[in-house]
Amino acid sequence: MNRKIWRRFDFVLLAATILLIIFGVAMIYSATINTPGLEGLATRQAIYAVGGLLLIPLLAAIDYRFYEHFTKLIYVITLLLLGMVFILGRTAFGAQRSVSLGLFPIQPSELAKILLILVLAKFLATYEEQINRPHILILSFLLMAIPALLIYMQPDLGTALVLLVVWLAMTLMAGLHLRYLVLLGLAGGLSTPVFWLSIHDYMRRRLLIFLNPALDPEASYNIGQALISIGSGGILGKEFASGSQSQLHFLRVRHTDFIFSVIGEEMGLVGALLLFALLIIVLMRIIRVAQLARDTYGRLIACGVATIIFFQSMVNIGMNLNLLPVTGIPLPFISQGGSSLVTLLIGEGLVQSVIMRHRKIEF
Amino acid sequence: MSVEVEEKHRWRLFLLSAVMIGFVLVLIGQLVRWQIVERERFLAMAAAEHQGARIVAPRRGTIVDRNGRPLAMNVVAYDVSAAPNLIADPYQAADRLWPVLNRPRDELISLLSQDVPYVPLARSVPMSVGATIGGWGLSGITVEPSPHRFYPEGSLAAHALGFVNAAGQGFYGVEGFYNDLLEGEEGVLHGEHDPWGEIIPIGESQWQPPREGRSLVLTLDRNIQFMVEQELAAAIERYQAQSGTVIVMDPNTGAILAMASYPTYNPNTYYQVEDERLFTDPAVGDHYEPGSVFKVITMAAALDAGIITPDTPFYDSGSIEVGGRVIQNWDRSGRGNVTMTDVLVFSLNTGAAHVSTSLGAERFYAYVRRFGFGLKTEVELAGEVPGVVRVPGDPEWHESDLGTNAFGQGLAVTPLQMITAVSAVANHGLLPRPYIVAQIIDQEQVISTRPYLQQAISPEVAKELTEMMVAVVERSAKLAAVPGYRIAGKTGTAQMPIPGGYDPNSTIASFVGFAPADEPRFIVLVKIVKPTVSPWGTEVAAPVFKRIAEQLFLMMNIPPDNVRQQAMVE
Repeated sequence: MNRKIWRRFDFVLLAATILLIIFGVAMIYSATINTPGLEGLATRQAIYAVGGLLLIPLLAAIDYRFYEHFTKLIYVITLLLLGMVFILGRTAFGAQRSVSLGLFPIQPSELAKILLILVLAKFLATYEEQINRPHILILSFLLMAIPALLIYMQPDLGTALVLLVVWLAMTLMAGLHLRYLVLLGLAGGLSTPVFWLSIHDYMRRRLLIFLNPALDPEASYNIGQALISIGSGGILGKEFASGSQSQLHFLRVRHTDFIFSVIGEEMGLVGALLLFALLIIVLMRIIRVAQLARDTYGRLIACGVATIIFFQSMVNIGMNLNLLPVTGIPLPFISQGGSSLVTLLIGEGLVQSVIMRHRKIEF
Repeated sequence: MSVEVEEKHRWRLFLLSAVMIGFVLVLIGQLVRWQIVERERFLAMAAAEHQGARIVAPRRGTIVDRNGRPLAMNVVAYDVSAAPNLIADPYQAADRLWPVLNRPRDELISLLSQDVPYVPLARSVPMSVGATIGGWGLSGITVEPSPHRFYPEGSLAAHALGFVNAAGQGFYGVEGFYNDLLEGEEGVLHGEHDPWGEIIPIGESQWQPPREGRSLVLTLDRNIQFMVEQELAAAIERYQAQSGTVIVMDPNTGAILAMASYPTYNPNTYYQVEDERLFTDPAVGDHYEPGSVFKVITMAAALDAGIITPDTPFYDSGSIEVGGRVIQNWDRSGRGNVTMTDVLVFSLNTGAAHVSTSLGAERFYAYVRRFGFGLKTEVELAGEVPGVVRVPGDPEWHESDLGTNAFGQGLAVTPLQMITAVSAVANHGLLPRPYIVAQIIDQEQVISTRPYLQQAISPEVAKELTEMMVAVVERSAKLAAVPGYRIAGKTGTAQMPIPGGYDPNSTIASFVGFAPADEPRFIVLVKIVKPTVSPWGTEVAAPVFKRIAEQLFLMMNIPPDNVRQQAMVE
């Protein structure tokens, strides 16, 4: 292997990522410090993080173009993994999401995001010139829609939505006319009633509560608590591990979906802006990779990974700030959850592989 | 790959970045709004949630008799409540709870399935039930001890004690009068609590302990009280009367030794009383026309003013006119030449009216007021009334009132006022302020009530009047006499006023007496309302006095007069 290519390894991206993970582990520690049964979660997250970070140089060393040849196999594996959930799945909070693989339970839906990026990147790169032809567009949509449907049936609306957005972003980056976007928007609007009727009760309730929080005091409880936590945090916050709402357990699922509220309460606006800054650095570095990528395949992989990080961040923080409905989408790098973290780090490994092989070869 | 395509990529990536920045700005905007602009609102909401104050109830003071026997105490019962929103399986919880709480299973299921944070399940369950449920440690089920008032003697001294309602408020009697002292002051534990309302030990907290209720030692003697209640109930049965009141007092201090009224109730089950007028203590809360007992006051006034002596002659013609109204004796006959002592012995209305008119309205009413009539005695009992004494100047006062008031008609007094006034005669002319609370115990500190005495008449007059009252018992109210003891007393038979006059068929028979006459240890008032076997105080109230006095001599270790006087000589 050419040693020189390691000079192009994006250490800024890696550093920002490590800072995010440290931030996350610290906040998980704070959120679970006084909670019987959850004490080990911060350590667990740190172990996953070390494992995931070790994957980055490994994946960076492998030329990303190597995967191009196995696209079909990857797709089949994706579908198989998602199918397994129905057979071997364990239920968490009313949804079958994890499959026990070896030591750690891993959520196939998380892994599916990265695998689908590889599949879509190959497909869209291959048909880049014909992307605006309906049958290509529809085919690419179906490639995404089948795993998305499987995930939706778990039921996990949030992750299915992530796949949809990833597809949208990647097709746009592959050259989809913006007018198709408008058409898609119209189609989406028209299909809303169908969508409304087909979604699960709990999803419908969450959407309704988002639109009118007074509807269900029990379910809107945590949204209210999130706002109280963030609002009472102020500019400088209430000090690490000292937020009254988080530490006194008024805020529920505070180490996962609502960890942003813990940050808002304990670290204040300053902490939240620091988080934004780190996320923006990560995103900008990945977009830079997309810019410099030597081929469409690499560019689309980078775009896909950026989209996942961006979309999940927006949806999660938006939910914490009562701008978006509660969807159960984790905050990238921060929320407790090994599968999500490892998946994101795999994504970054792929991105590093792309930047290390970008086309402006420097001597 | 063409340059054009590459440009398109750049443009699209720029667009993607712009969209991202746009979203981030929206999030930051919202963050600034919550954390800076509207922060105060959320701070208040956060504080309201976890900065709770827990009220710590003080212990209500106990009430004991003069010898320390408990009359009112606190027992612990348990209140069971649930937080249904913390109960995962209402069916399972209901299955366990319904047999011990004695409530229908379905009812519990529906209570526990609600989406509310608090539901009371049972109040005042006994300790065993509370301990059983508490021992299960069901999450969402709370067992809390709560104090309940308990009167170990049941209905004993119910009117004097009063009762305490479920909210811990005392009503009537000393419970009502001294409610503030007995209940104490709430303590407050300010502190941070978790979503289940438990105070966090390490959180910021401020502890202001409750001020425990003060305990009372009454002047009542449980044994005398019990005896008096037995005698009163028996008398009402014997004379087929409607109701009655007996007060036993130490005339030297005003300490009330027993105070009983019948019918009565059990303060443990006060809520079962249908007519709440039963709660009113007739000894202080009802007034009545005292009738001839009041002649003692008339005589006291005239003797003290110096216008008569016990031997002052009076010609009883059988009637006398005062203010245009003709006053007659109870038997409508005249006894000719009599003394003032005879006026009292034979309870002559004519003689009494003669005395009061001789005294004149101004002096007569000054004495009436000096004996405390028309004013509250300030005894420590809730619901005391001042009685009614019309005096010259009042629009309703009439000249003839001076005549009728002299023998206890046309004015209203409470039994406690009456016995207190006569106590002055027993106590060298010193009028005591009656009291029922001997000591207030405030933690380590004991505050004792000091008797308060006021000179109403001179000691000489008191002595003369005592001899006149001894003559009453020896010559007329013989049913009150106890062999071996000189007893001073006066009977009364008052007609009961009804609109437009007096009820011809019903009376209040009463007797006030004290003994031993030369060195009184007790004074007793007996008041029997609407006796049907006989209307007369002499025949109804005097025998009740006798029975009570006989037992008091024994209970209070009062030897017969000759024994005592011998001992004094030696």
